[in-house]
Amino acid sequence: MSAAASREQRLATAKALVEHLEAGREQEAGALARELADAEGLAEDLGRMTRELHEALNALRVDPRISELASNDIPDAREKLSWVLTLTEQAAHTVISAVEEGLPVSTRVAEDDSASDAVRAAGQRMHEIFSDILMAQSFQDLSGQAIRRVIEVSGELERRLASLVQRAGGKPPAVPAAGPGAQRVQGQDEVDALLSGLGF
Amino acid sequence: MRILVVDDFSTMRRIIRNLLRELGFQNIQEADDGNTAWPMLQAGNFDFLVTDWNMPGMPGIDLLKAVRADERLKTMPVLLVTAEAKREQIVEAAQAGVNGYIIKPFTAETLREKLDRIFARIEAAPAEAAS
Repeated sequence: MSAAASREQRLATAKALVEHLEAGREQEAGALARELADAEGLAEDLGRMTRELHEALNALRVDPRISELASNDIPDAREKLSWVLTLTEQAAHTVISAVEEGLPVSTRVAEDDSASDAVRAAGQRMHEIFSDILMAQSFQDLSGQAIRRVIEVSGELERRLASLVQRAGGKPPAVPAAGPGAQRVQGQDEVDALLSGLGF
Repeated sequence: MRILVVDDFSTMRRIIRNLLRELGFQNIQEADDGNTAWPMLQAGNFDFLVTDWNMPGMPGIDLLKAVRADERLKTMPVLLVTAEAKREQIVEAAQAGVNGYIIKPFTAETLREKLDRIFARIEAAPAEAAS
């Protein structure tokens, strides 16, 4: 038998298998699945996978927990994350306001000619500390971006889960494959090196 | 020197504004994404643009490209301050004509250093900057 003919035959068998599965003819489907997989020595695996898929689809139909996740738990989790976003933003603004008040005070102390050297040095140190506190507030932007991303993804998950529950009798919706991981730089030094290599 | 700071997070805008103020820049405006920034750039006489990359609406890279494609704005120095740290993004920004690229989180010293560098280059090429 030529390779092409063998491929055609297997394809025809596979199509018949799908038809049986769609029509709910489990026995015929099982027989065909075994026939199809026997050639590859995969009868056991395919049989098990068919059974598992069948059970998973049945579970989706009957498990109220799945639709509860989609309609209650995930929206609730999303709301909580939004709340974290709001809280951290408010806290960061409170800190920045305090720093905005403190920075000029520390500058005045650091540059006060009537003060002793020790006091001026303390003023200078206070200024550095306020700057560090200011920079540390960038955590809100960075964590906020991550939280927004999780909110987005959970929304997507919720929509897909809802659609899956709805279509449990049919084919499950395809899940898009993740793209190839892009190469990340490790720090500002590497950014500088990369840009300098590009003529910057 | 009029500076426009574009970031969707108000905390980050305030941080950058404060750092710039510490460096002696007083005239600073803010926008929360490229769509808000674009009419401001068109209307105002800004001398310098500091922008985030990842923003809803119009991202910073598109804003940079729009600036470079605009006859009146194309020579404006643009500094990207972003958490985007993928090599291909840095290369894309460089190819789009960015003047500096800082990844978050950054230090006040990094910002000072990049600004000094950008201004030094502008002074070294006054004809191009003034055209």
